[in-house]
Amino acid sequence: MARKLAVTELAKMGYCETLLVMNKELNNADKGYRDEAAIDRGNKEHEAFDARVKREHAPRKPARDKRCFIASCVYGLEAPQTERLRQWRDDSLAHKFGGSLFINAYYRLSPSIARLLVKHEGLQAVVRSMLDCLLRRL
Amino acid sequence: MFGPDEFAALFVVVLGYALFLFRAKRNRKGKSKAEAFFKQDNTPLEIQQSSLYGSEQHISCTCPIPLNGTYDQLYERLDNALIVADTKTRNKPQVFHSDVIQLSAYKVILENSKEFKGKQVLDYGYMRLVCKGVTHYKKVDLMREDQVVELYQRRRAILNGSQQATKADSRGKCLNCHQLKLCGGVKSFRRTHTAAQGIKRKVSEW
Repeated sequence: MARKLAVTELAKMGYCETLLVMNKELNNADKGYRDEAAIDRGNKEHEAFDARVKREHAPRKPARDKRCFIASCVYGLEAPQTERLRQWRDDSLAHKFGGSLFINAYYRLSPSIARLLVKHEGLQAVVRSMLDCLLRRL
Repeated sequence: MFGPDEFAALFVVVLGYALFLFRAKRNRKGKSKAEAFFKQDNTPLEIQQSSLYGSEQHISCTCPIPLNGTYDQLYERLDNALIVADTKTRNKPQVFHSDVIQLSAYKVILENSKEFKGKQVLDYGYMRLVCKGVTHYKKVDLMREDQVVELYQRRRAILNGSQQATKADSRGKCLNCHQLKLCGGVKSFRRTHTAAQGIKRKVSEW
């Protein structure tokens, strides 16, 4: 299998083909394009922009299908409370008027809320007490 | 009193409102920072409105040609199309043919890499040119895949001696070239390199 060619090597074809040949024959492939100071300047600019663009530019949104139930975050993925809420969602809520609307709204909000809950334990306690209250009424 | 359904609805409304307030506050703060960054960097609107897919990431492909490289930035538009961008530090905001080749080669890799399967890569990219502290973005039309493949094959043919190499397309490129003495630059025609270095290749006319 042929060795993979670096894109930058292929790009040198657009600079000067003669230089490419001469460098190969003289065995100093990396010389002849820029001086060391310019290369150093370029590398520093790359590093600085890489750090800044990662910090300032909006990152790609995660895939939408990775939903997270708030109860899974508060009680645990397989906890009986979580299972009870799932059961209530499927058996009761989904069949009621506006139930699917509620479930959709919940799924839209729940990933962001779950992320918040992971970060803030105090908020987790508040949500847990609200869910406990809901579970007592089911 | 509230039944379970009403309680659940209230619960979602309260949490939703809290989240809205939290996000609005964070967005205001983040937005002003991002706006300052875009303004300072002269970022084109198309890139501003895109999300950052990746930065300084290594990519490779074996088909149609074995290539590898590290792209500088890859942006994803709202329609999921990818835009390749590359940074260069230069004295003038000038785009060279080598830049076009580089961006086009990244496009070929992205289109043939398993990781990016099904993703559309736009047939143009951006060169981010940093000239004396000022940033310029230049939109660049990219080469087609068959043109990149042809160039790869030409490179191989030149290096194994079955095709003749051409000289640089401008004298400016020769000015700082360390091979200028041997090559003679673009002014010399039909120069044969011989003698000390043992080069016996005839360089074609420019």
